[in-house]
Amino acid sequence: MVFSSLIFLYMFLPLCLLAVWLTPKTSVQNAILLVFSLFFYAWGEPIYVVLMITTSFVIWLSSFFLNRSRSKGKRRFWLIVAIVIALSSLAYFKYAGFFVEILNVIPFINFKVPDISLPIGISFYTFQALTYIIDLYRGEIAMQRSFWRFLLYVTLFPQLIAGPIVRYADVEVQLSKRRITLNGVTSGIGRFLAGLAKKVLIANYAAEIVEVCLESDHFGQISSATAILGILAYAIQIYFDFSGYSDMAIGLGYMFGFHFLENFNYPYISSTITEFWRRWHISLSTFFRDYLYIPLGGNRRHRIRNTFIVWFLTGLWHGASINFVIWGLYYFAILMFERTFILPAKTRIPKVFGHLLTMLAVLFGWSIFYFTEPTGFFTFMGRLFAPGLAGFADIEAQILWRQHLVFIIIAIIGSTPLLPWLKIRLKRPLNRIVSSRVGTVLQPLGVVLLLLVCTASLAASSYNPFIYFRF
Amino acid sequence: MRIRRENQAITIIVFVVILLAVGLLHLILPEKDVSVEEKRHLRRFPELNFQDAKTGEQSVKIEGWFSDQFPFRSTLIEVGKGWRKIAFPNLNKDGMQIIPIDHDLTGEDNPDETDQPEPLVTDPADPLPSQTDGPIETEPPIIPTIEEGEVKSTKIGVIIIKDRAMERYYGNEKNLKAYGERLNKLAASLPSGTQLYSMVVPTAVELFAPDKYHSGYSSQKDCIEIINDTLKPDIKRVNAYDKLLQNRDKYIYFRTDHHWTGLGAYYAYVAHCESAGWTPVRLDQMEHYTLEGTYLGSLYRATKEDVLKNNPDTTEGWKPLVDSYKATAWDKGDMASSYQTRLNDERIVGDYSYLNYSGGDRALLKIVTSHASGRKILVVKDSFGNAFVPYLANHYDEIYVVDPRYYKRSLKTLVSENDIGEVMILNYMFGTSNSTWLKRFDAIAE
Repeated sequence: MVFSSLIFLYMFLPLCLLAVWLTPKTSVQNAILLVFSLFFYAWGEPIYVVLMITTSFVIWLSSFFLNRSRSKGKRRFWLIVAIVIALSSLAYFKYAGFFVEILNVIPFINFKVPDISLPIGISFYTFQALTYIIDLYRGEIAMQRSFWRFLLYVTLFPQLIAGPIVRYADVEVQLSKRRITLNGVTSGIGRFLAGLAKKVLIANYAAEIVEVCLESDHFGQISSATAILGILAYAIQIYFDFSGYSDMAIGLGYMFGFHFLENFNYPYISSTITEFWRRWHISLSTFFRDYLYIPLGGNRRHRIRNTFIVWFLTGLWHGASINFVIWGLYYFAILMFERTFILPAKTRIPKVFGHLLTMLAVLFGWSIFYFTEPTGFFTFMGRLFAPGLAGFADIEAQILWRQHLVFIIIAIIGSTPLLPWLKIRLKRPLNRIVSSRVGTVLQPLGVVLLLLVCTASLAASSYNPFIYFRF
Repeated sequence: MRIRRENQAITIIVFVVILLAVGLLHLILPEKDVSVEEKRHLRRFPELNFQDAKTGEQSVKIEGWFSDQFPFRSTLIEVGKGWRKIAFPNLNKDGMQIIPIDHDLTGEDNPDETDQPEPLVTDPADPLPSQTDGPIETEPPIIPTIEEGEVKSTKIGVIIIKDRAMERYYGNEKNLKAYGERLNKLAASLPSGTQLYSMVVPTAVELFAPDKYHSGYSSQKDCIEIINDTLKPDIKRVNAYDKLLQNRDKYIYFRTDHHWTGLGAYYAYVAHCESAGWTPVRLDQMEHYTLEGTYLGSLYRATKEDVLKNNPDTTEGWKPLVDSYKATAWDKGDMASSYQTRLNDERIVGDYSYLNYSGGDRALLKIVTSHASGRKILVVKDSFGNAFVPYLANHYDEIYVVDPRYYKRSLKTLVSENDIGEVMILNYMFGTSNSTWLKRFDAIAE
């Protein structure tokens, strides 16, 4: 099931909210949430729900033995067991086919490439389970005595399918003690609706532009301007899709009394790639930093090797295809470059210039990310830099740009922190409204209007793609 | 402070109540059967079974049901469309836009696959021209079965200018030459002396849009030239293009459908007469008719644009000048059953309007006329041929109409067994690259 669907909004969610809100005891709420979460996952993966439960049980059991062991050697043993099992499961389901394809490149080797379907969310829940066992090993958290509470942590539906990657340490206390407040729920609703709007109103529209520009049967003959529009739309799509989904996840969390950490912080205003990765998919980069980079030695020992490994795996995490690995290493190269040449001289480079360069680098990066086949990528590059008969901007490009220009501009503005900036500037008048009778009408009205427009868009389109869904 | 908290409570209540109420409404309201706008059946609640539940197919079906039966669905869709227009206005003049459609329209004659119209069988009491008997086709040798080809989904753009929708075309030189070679191969396999004609019809964009919309890769004129240059010299190239271009101020293409109208097909008929040596019958010599009601065709169905809905098409035709004829139709490739039908059937209206001329795409249509010219013709065609073939009844003794997507037997056999002296291959631009049509053509052309 996905959040941006009619059945989630009008069947699953209201029932879940009511069931949870009407039960005062946290332990009963947990049971309800667990049932709903498993149902939510099983809805899309009726078989693999068992895999998720089994993986969680194995990790939890390892944590039980790890907890009981006194000696460092024994503790490490159980840690390794848990990590190996978790990563093997992920490696098999996600990467087995890819590994075989790589092997087949070697002459005389020709294994049949297995066709394994990827269980939804496996990349996310596997990493979440790992944060638990690793932090337990480090003594930063206590073992979760209740398997059910641990399972709830892994499968909690707000963050199950597409993140953010919630660290166990961040919700350890909340699992047994949390308060659902008027404030929390209201901001949760607002956050959720904002995310829904981002996904349904912006990301889905951008996806249509990507389709008409980069997926047509005459892709090999498009003009440069069409290619640019396509990749720009893709950058918009992937940001609003993914950050919108994280917004919905965080908003839903609030509605149930959970507080998740932010996953995006307006990445498209970054003036360096280093800054970009502190603002994009924050939970993933912090995961790799804390659980891979630092254990490997971090800044202190073998910095370049460690950085390389982290970015290789970041790329690989995004997909079982060579272009994703290249994408990760692409950022590795830029980050190394920035660290050596740019950052020390940072104060001397005008921010606007840095921002422009960063966005160009990001757009180029998205083109590596988007084209899983090399022919597609090279055709795209050709259309961009060596335009053929269609030239820089043919009639199709002119029509398309005029057709979608307003949307592009609005989307770009929406990717900047304009709204939070306004919120701070207008803090006093806003405060007065929410505490007045005007707010009594305006607030619910805002909810109704947003729901109406989002529902209308959902009803109109059978096209509801979800990029980060394949993780 | 109190008011703030009250506001919050109210907001929360409104949120949940709306979600619940709409959900409840969905369950209470009776299920709807059809969507008039989309011209399809709306999905009903699926039968629950274990197999579907296991594969996850059940969830997909339930979500499909939930979406299709959503309360006020058509109103919501209108709101969604209106929202887009207001929030992200199209800056093009005249509301011009390019819309991607992701299915090939080449096979599209019928609006709803599941709702084929019953073949309108000729009533024996009907005052139709008297029947003449002709030779029935004998059992030919079995042709190896054709594997179901994957229909290549072509994502093309539909461009809407003012109130007319048109398919954009991008030529691929390799495909165009391959098409020409196919016709050469067929010519070689047919009995010597058989005259072959090739007619390739452009899409509307070539005729009704300014030059810049069909230049370079998109010039269908140039693409047809590429095909013609590949053809062997003794194959006659029927130049429908110029006739259509000269008459483009007339209603020769539908605005909401990718097909040409009866009038457009007439001008192609005139072009054929020039190649075939006939004196074309004039429009005023034939009985003219207009179908009742209006027509919203394939391009409206694909794009759902309001400007098309508000300017629907009308369908008209001309009945051929002939004393009598008998038209026999075999729909399926196994040729197991046939029925009598008629051309220019004014009873076929509404969504099926285009089918009035000679029905839809089927294996074989055989027309035997009262003419005694001594000439017979076979037309191998895509759906554009359906509006064209009735005009051939002005001259030929026998007309065989074959759609390779349904006809499974050998063309060579059909031609030799029935002494057919002329063979025409008629396709519109996209037909020349439609993988299904081409694959099946190869199979019957040997």
